[in-house]
Amino acid sequence: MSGNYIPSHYLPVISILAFSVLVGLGALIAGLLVRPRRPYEQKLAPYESGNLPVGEPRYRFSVKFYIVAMLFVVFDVEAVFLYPWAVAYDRLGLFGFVEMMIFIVILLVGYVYAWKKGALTWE
Amino acid sequence: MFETINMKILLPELILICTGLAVILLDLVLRKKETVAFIGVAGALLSAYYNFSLMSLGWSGAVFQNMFVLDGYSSFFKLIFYISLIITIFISLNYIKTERVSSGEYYSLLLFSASGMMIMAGAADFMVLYLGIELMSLSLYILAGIMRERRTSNEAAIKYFFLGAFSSAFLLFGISLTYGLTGTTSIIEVAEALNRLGPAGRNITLIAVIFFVTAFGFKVALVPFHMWAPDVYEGAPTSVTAFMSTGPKAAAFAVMGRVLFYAFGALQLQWSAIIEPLSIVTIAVGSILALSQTNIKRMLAYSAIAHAGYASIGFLPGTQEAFAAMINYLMIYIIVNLGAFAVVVIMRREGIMGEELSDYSGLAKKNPLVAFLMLIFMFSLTGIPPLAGFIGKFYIFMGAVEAGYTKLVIAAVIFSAVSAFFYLRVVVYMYMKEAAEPSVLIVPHSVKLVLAFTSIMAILLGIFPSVLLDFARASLLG
Amino acid sequence: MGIEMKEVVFIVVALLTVVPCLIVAFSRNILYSAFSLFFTLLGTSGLYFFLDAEFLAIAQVVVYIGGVTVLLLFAILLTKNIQEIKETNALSMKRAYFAGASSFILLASLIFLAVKEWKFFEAGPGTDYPFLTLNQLGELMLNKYLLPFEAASILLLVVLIGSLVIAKRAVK
Repeated sequence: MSGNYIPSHYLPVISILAFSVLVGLGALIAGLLVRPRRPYEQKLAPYESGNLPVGEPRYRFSVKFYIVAMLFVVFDVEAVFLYPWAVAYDRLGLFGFVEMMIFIVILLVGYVYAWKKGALTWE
Repeated sequence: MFETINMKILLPELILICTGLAVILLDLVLRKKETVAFIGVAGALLSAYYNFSLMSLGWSGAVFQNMFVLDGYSSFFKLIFYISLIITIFISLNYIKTERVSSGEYYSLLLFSASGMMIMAGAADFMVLYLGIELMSLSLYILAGIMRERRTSNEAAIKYFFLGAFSSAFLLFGISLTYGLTGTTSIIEVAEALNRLGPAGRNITLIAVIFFVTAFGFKVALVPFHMWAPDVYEGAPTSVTAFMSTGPKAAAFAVMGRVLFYAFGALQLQWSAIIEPLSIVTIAVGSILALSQTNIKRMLAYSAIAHAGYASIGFLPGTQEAFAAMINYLMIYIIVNLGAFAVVVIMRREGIMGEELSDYSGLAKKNPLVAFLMLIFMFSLTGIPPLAGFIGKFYIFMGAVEAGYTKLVIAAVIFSAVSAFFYLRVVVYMYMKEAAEPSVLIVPHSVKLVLAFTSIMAILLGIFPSVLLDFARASLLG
Repeated sequence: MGIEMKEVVFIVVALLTVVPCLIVAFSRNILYSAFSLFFTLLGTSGLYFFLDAEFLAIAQVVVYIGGVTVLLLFAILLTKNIQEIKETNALSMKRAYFAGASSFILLASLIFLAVKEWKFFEAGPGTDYPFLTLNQLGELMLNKYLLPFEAASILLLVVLIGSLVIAKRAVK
């Protein structure tokens, strides 16, 4: 297994990825070839459920979105770290459990902090 | 399977980290916010106590299959970090109230940054080293930008972050090249692998050394990697600047010494040749650019750059003796620099920034004692005998002359004389100019304590130079 | 038969990494840059698969594609007038040429050294390319690499505190 540089056992994943990309692109290209093209102004306007679009489409988002995204990334990384521990759990035993709990508690402190500071409320 | 016994050597770091966690949590519930600062000081003292009692019990050693060590080397640097941390907390007490910085985040980030530095000092593996650097730097980026309403603070944080991330990339590149060439990230094993490779195979690792020197050059602000320093030092809160110019700088020197001496010791001649031009250019640029500064924080930033240059001369001879002189120099520099920054911090009052040199005019009339202490710090930073700064420079220069770097030392002495101009200008402002407006200068008790400690040390270490140097020598031995 | 299936796949993955990278650097529209970064990160994950670093590849997908790209897009949406490339990227051409030239010199010297000494392409002493299963990885992470692991959690905590300090409108 070591050092043969081909992820051969991931071939099904790769082929389904390639297949789905092909299907998506194929549908777009087929549509491009088949459909008639007669553009006029109303048709080119962005679709707003039949209403006329009002105002600029790009406005500044609230910074709250950023905080939520940041929280997501932090706990995302935590989840990634949990994964190998969970797989090796039976061999790591109590010591590994304690170590992982320390890891989680440290992030829990951050969670409590964020909660208390009102980062999770939408005002 | 588990070396639970050796876990004891991690106690100092663990205590400091737990203090940081406690501070952030207690800040949420406590009404009186200064309490967390004292918890921080208590945690730092406890951590220091454990560190040195472990050392005196002979508990030094490695843990986690040589990932982290507790030895004299790391202990000496940890002492620097403890001093830097505790003094910073003391000078912050009133300052962050004036600046309306919320204390929970501030003190916990200081503590986390200090624990990052301790991890750096004890790192015996590049992985640990890298995480230590990141922990230290990330906390500092936030601390630099903690005054959100002020534009200069934002600018400082952004600049510091970008260049810090840039230097991390260099560091990681160096680590990965070293790993590719030697097959290990452990510092001791890298040294062994280099010995096995022999002189011919060794040279290719020089490119990794260049990456390491570049990365550490950013962290200690050696020219040409110094551009961030003046803007960051000026924009960051003054207490954070005091911290940044002392602890993290020493920590970067700690890892630089660890990597260059312990991992790449076989390439000593080559890395000396790389650092030699850097050090003299650093001294020159720092000293000359400081001349035209009118903001005292910017001036001290260029002074910090110049002092990084002086300290890096200690690497050149590659001997234990010269390195001892270097860490001796660092210790003296951080104490004196913290003292100078303590004065800068108290100049900031409600409604007065107090960062311009002109704000110091007439200080000798307003508060003779503070002016006199500032005079001591400025004289010491210049290196005027019999103060501590002179002793630090003297040993560094002596080591370099013995190793044959006479020209370099002559140039360094000349620039040292140049630096007298801008340090003494502060003194001129304080003693020979009239104050623009009569305003009182109240010195908080915590800062009084700091000023007393730093000025007494600046004098005592100058009069009894061998005490600290012997301690430095002993630390390097084990 | 010079080229096999695995080489074809590798070339596709490598192109998937490099071509969007160029778009990131040269696109005039920052949204296009952000979206092409998505493909670069995906390609990098594919390269990790080729290096047998499966966990890293999955982590790359989860953290970078799932998290960091979204964060980046939010950051773009938070910023006013960011599409005016002249405003957001006001770097002078002289500096750009200088930066380009110095990175080229760095790269060229690395390649020169690698070709001259040739050792970069051989496995160095003791680099017997360890293939780790997830099981072994978990064990290593919680034994030998425990300190970096726990330091990472402190790092994440600092990130959390930092993002709140910087982004919260008024920290109470």
